[in-house]
Amino acid sequence: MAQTPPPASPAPDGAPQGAPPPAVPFERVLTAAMGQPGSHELDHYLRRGGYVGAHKALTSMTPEEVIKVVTDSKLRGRGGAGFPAGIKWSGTRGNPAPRYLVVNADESEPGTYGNRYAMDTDPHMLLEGMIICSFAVGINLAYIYIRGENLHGYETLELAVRQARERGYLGRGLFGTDFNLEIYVHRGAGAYVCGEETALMESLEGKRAQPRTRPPHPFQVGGGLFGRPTVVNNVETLMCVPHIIVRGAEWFAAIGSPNCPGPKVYCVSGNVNRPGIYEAPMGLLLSELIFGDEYAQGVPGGRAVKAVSPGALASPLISGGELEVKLDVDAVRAPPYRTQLGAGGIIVYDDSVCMVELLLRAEQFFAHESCGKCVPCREGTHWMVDVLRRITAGRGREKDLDLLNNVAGNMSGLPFHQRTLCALADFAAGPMMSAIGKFREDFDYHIREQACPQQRQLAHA
Amino acid sequence: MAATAPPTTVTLTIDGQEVTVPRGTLVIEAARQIGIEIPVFCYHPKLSLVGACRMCSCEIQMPPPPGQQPRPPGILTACTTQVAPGMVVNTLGPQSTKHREAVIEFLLINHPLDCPVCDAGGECPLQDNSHAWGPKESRFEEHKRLARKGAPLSPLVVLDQERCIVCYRCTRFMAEVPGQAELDFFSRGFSSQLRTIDDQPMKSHFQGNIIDLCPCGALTSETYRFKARPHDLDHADSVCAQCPVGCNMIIDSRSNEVVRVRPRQNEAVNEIWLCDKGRFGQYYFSSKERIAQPHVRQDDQLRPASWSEAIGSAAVALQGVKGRYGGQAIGVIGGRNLTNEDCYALARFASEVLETPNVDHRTGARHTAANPLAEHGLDAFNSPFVDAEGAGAIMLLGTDVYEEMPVFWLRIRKGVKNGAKLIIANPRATEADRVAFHRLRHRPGAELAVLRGLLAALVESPPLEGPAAVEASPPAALEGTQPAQAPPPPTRDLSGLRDALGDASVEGAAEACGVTAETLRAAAATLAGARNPLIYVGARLAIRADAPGLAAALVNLATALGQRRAVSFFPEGANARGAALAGLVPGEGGLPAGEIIAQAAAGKIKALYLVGENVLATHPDAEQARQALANAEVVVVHELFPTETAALGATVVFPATSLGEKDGTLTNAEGRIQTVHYALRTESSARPDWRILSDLSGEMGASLGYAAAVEITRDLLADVPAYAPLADGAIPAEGVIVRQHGGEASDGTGTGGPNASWGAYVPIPEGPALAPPPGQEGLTLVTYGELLGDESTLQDVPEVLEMVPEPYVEVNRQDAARLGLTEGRLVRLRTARGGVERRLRVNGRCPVGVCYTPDNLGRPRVNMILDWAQPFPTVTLEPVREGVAAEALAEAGD
Ligand SMILES: Cc1cc2nc3c(=O)[nH]c(=O)nc-3n(C[C@H](O)[C@H](O)[C@H](O)COP(=O)(O)O)c2cc1C
Ligand code: SF4
Ligand code: SF4
Ligand code: SF4
Ligand code: FES
Repeated sequence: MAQTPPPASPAPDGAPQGAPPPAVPFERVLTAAMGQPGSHELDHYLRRGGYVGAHKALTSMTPEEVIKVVTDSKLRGRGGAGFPAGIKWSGTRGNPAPRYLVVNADESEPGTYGNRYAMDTDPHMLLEGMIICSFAVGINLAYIYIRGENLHGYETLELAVRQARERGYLGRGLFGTDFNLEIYVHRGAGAYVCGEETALMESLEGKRAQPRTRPPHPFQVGGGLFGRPTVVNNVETLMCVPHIIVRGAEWFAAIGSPNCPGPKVYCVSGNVNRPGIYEAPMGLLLSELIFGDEYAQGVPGGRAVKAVSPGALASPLISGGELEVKLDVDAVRAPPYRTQLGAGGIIVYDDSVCMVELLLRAEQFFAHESCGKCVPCREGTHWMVDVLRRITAGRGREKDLDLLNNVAGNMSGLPFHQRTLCALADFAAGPMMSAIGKFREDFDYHIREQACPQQRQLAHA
Repeated sequence: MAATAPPTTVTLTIDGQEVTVPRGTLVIEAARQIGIEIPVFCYHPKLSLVGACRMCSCEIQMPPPPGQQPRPPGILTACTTQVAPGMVVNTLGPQSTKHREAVIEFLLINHPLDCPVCDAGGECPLQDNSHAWGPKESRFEEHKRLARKGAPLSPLVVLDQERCIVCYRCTRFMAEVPGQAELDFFSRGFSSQLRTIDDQPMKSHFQGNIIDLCPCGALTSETYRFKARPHDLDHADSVCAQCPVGCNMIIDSRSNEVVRVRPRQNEAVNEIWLCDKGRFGQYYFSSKERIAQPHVRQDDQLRPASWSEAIGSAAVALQGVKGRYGGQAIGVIGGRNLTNEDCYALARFASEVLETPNVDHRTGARHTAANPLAEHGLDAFNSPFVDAEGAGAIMLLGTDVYEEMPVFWLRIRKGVKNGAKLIIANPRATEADRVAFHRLRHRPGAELAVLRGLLAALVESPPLEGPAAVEASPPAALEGTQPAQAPPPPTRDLSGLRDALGDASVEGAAEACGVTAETLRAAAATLAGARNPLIYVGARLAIRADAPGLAAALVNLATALGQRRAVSFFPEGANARGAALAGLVPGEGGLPAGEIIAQAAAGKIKALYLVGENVLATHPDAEQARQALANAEVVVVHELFPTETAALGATVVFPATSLGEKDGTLTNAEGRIQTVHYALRTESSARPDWRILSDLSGEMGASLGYAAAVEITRDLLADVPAYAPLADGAIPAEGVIVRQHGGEASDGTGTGGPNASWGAYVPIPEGPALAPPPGQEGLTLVTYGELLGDESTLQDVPEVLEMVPEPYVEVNRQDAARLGLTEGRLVRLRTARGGVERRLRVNGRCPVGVCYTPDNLGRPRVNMILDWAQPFPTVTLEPVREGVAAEALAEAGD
């Protein structure tokens, strides 16, 4: 990609603002420092124009102006639900203090790892986003909830927080204003469900990580952390914020899909030649991401793509014939795809993959991770595992497919988490229903022939 | 935020019917109001919302925002969704019924379906909901989950993990209602398992409630397991008579034996709870240990006798004493555990037949005024229980309310959850201390000094006048930025109190009671700043020698707080209030119960009439009680069980019927008169106390003439002024609060005492010095009753006996270290009178220099070594050889 200005260190007032609508070449901002040694150090970040956004927001803008810019940028949450960040912030600000910010750095789903690399590379970008968010919402205490297994990430963040505190970017009187902010990094010790925002807050409060009933919602009194109004945002959501402040809402809104704009970190895994992290405009074509030269560069051995999980394991499957989908929150949700982008973990399966086995693996994951609070998810995930295990062991029955489809349907429904407290049940049900809908022949073969269509050895269940 | 106040009610449509309910109402409750029952498992109106089971899901359509198309209905849980204007709820919509069917299917796939051997069978919400909503057949052909079955969570509660539907009712109850999170789920998802913390048996006094709450047979009662099918049971509405709360209960019996006890809802008393003594401690009604027959003493031995012989010989003996020495040589003690009818009959018997003023229901009482507040125009208990829910501050003085009135403690906790600040004054830490705002750990017996300190602190900085005062002051002080808009409200005029206090100062009081002046001032400020402060005082303080002084100080405190009815004394004994109202209090010139025994020991009282009162175990000086029994010429005893008092001293023993076998009324601590119905037929020849008294009075030539309990109820209501509002004899199912003093309305909503004494402060009479002065050698002993004491009512229930602690003595770590004693050691607790053996508990509950032992646990009771003249004796602890190494013993000896 031809790299033209704007300069690497952002100009004070958002230089590209005047740029005409078309063809501003895409510039990586979230992963720009990836691969640069020492990029996690405060000085490195400062050399690249770090904390300019926070300085600008705190010293020259009102909180309302910050929220307006973020709202105008149409930044939508990168954690999965795609909720507009500005609306979340103003909603929280409308409720009485004390309020809290919680950064969701749990990232535990198979196929997602973007947050991890982003935090390793540029922890200060996250802190800067947190400072701006806290200032805008009126928050003086923020938490980063990081997955317990990610010890390296935790240490990186701790170091970053310490450095920021030493330089006065955290603590009392930031940037000479009377704004105070403390950040605590909290290691989870839990499960996948800890990434669900209300379970995460329970865990942060020292309780069992189980989702709470809503309302009250996190932004409301009684619903957030310690019962206070709380903003919960994904790591990547907040990392976008400094750039929006520096370069302006229009710059951000002009990138990629108009309804869901901005840069997006996609992480690609599975049967591709070059798995990895790719920052691209929201709404990149899936086929481009899989086959593009700058991206994953196709499938090994030139095999065909059989299926794709566009939002990691939890998303309904896309078949190999549906690759011309735009990767943004709304486009993947729309028919005929009816799937979800999640946090942008794209898993590619080639034509050697048996969907029955894939689903068994997936459902084992969800059955293991279901917190067990609500009946359909606790019992349904396990029931599906039992049936899938039987099928893969060569003891499938004709009626099993209807049963699986029906059990999954009884766990899920649109919109999400109506039948259950959180979307984990939908995450478990969606892939199941899509697999039976789109790859029925794999299941039929297993049941009819009592053998695997890919000639894999049958499991002994 | 909208500028105008939003309307307080909401109108919505449920299944085609419009209903208007208060804002914030849950859909499920709104439906209930119009008779639509939405099925539930996890929802419970007394617990927090979890939305876990998803059973209550309904099709709920929100009204569209203005100018937008209506959106299709969602499937939302009715138990967590609040009503909204214009909301349309369809509880039977096809989507929701299909969803419910799915929930039932999910619940049953791993349920063992062992209904035929499940105690819950026939009264199981899981069965009922499956029947009503479940699929016709199961599609599940895999292996069911296997888990723990018949696993004890404590000696009382058994868990069947396979049956558990993980609704979190039990865990929420424990964490939220008594605040004892002894249970939680371990592991997650499909493997979720209910366990006790560290797999230790549950210890709470409220465990039994989780059995009621469990919507399936996962939690069952050890005492009821496999005993009966619910449709085979007989039921009787009754009231627990194990403490003065007076919880409403249902006694379920089969073949004339108690098989279980369940709570009966009474929102004003026990809501839907029972403590474990109430639930598991009623089996004594059908105990085989009960006395079946009258006995008379012959040649110093009790021998069975016929009723006519026993009545005859009691009559002759009592007539003899009366003839020789006059009626005032007879002492009558009893009534705190009897029905009002028994009490009234006993009171009449004492005054009309025995003609003695020496009547009392308060064992161990040292002064005559049964209600120490009476002389100040107040009732002994001046507010309904429910008031504790709305109090701004609650002070507990001299009570371990968790042990003394357990279910009322739950009400106080509710108050604390609603924001009440709890102030506890007690020589040792109690369960309630866990949520206390101030803890005043005072010297034993120094309650009066504590009250003086609080009063002096109030004089120093008087409370603000008027109801707005409370809200107005603190925030303004906190903000500091806003200029004071209105002049501060005037402070209350406490000059009268200053005069009443004399030269008492906070520092002086602090010195005397051992609580720092700082703490006293802080507690006083909390009381002064609270809306509706309430002060509850333990029953033991009401019978103590310094009770008049305490009462005066408490009335002054309540007056200074602008709320005279803030102060209430707990009664000791389930029907102590009823006994007092019925007249079982010392008459003109009469002696209090403690003095009756003392005088009998001294040979001045010649006959004792003891009704359900085992004085050897309950009088605070067993040796004196023994002498009393030995010296009295005649001792007539009514009893359920062969007690040591009966064995040692009785001339005649009458077997009495238990509460489970008689009709009548009881009056609880708050003065609520409630009806009990008999649950069991009496199989022995035992008779109700009132009937024994009526028969005996006939024999003595002055018949009370009662043939049925209702006749006595009628006389009682007509005769006792407090019951005047009930003279038509109708007592509603939830009971009625009556007041003896204070002119309060019978519904308990009155505002205070007679205006004559309003605002007037009374002098505080100086009491006798109770505790030894500080700096003594040895430890000061404090005693109190425990809920699970008085084992005779529990003796037939081994499961409950397991819950009864081994008799113990509790000391501070520092004292234990100084004495070289360790936790769990058997020690001898010694006074000049001798020693009793107790197990040592070492912790921080008692302050240094104080030790505690329950006085209703263990044989012999601690009263064995207590002296009537020394309420707070100095004791020593010495190790008892119990297979321990000799050197440890020697070490401890020096
Ligand atoms: C089972 C489950 C797991 C989730 N895990 C994560 C996660 O690891 N990271 C994350 O940011 N959001 C996760 N979410 C989404 C969060 O609940 C929440 O929507 C998100 O943190 C909001 O942040 P955003 O608005 O910035 O996207 C998860 C949701 C569910 C139901
Ligand atoms: S859907 Fe599953 S993970 Fe989410 S709350 Fe319910 S049981 Fe727990
Ligand atoms: S034991 Fe009973 S009350 Fe407790 S969670 Fe299980 S089903 Fe619910
Ligand atoms: S609190 Fe008292 S009245 Fe209520 S059940 Fe327990 S012992 Fe009985
Ligand atoms: S009763 Fe509503 S979710 Fe359980």
